[in-house]
Amino acid sequence: MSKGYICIAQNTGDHDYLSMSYAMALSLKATQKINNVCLCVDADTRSLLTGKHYAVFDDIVNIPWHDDAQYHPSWKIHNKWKYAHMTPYTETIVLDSDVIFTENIDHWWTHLTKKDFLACTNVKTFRGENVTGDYYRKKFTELNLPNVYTNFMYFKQSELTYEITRMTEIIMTNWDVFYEKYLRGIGQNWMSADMAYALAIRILDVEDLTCDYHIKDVPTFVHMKSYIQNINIVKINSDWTKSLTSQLSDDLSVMIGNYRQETPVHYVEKHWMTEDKIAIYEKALGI
Amino acid sequence: MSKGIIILANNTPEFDYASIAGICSDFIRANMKQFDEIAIMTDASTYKANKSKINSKFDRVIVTPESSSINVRIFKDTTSRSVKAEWKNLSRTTVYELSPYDETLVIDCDYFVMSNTLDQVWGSKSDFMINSSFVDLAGRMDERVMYVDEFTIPMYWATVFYFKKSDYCDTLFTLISHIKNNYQYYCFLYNCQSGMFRNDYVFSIALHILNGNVANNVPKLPIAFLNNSFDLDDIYKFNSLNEVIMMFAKKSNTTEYLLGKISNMDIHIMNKKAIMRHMKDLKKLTTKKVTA
Repeated sequence: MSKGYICIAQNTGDHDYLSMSYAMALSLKATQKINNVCLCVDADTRSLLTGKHYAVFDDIVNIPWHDDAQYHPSWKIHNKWKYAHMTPYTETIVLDSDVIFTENIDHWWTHLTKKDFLACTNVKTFRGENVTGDYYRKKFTELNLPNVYTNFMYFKQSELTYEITRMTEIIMTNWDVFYEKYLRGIGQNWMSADMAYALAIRILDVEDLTCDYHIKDVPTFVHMKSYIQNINIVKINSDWTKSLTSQLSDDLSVMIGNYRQETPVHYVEKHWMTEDKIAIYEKALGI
Repeated sequence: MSKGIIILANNTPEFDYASIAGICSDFIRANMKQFDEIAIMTDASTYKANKSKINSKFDRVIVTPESSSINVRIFKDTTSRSVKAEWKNLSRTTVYELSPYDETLVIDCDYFVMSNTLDQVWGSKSDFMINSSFVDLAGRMDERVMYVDEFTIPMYWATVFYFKKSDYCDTLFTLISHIKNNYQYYCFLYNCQSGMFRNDYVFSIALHILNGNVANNVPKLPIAFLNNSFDLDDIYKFNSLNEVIMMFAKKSNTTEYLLGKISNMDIHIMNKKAIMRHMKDLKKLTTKKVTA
């Protein structure tokens, strides 16, 4: 039984997802004992890979079949239904590129392994408070969708995982149809992986098997979207880095606004990850 | 294990804290039973000017040196009046080293003990207890927790806290003294909204640091929140040592009031002018109780 993490990196004109994935992998290697990590890339991103990437990523996989995101230059989430097909591991945690690990969470696997599929349904503010606001999730509230965050999602090779994967594929490749039928109303009208997986879980009626709302701390992560930080939205900038101080120290601890971060951090603002920060991780790992 | 309550009171030209502390002590004696002593911690000038009054109300007097620096703040007395006055609040951080008790409960002199709930602190397994949650009895504030600043840590109220002589508290109060001595730095680091020295901030910062800069789970007092009447409220009448009728400034119009009766429940009354206005009645009430 192998365990590992998986992440898709497809660079856009605006963002260097490969660098962010590299930083994520470095933080993973520096803090976790269970630290296999698989990177999934399209042809363009693969051409950017260098020796340091091959050194850090345990597996590098080409996104299979064709690139579903090829006609979406700035929002490449369309291949996210393929995780179960791409993973080389028996048990996998899905991550976004803009996530970093701050402390060891190996013990989470003990809890995760009890399930075939477990979505993160509770996220934290930088203070470690449970997020209760739905500023970015009006449609989830309105339609009472499973509160799924795919930035940190566990699955093992199982029938349930492939059912969810198949349904998510159908939803993602026929988004307009599913949007019209199930998702019209307030809130976002664009496709997101969270919404596609949430709808798949709802249609398959497997919420009780895949979501655990009673356990708030595993899995979870600090979600750095500004307007869910329990701070008056009039006072905080929509880019949290303009309102809150933060730093990555040489000991790899991450401080955000006087708080040392204990769980993985989804930093959201892509510019937060810099070459300087990557150098800190590389130095810590002797790369 | 000796169990003592310490009330801090340093008179200023504007406020007779020693008298308020005397009343506070009467309320404690009427409602709490399981302590050994009540002590006042006061500066030399306050003690000298109020010696007989203080000696009659307290089992022990802890005299602190006069503070070399003066804190000034605005004291509101409902919406109609406010006064800028001295505030001597720098000695609280030394209460740990000056307390002669194994277990100490520190209470502000404007905290009226009208129940026996705080008796539950004695013999606690926790070395230190303090609250961050509060209820605004007037209902003007919906929040249950205030932050030192909206972008930083929650504020603990140093109005009432309990400590035990212990390694943890040794470290905590050493850190508290360090923060007090470097207040400007920590004020900047934690984005403290007021430049004025506040014990609430110092305690909050120390607790946060001592907990490793992560979310705190500091043990709470037996009632896990403070019942706060802020300084826009007024006192209508104290009915007894267990009951007060307050005039709560309305949320919609703070110049209008709602009467509210608080019974058998501790209350933190921040309008000190209002307390002083009722001093005569309070003295009668406490004298009657003693006589009875």
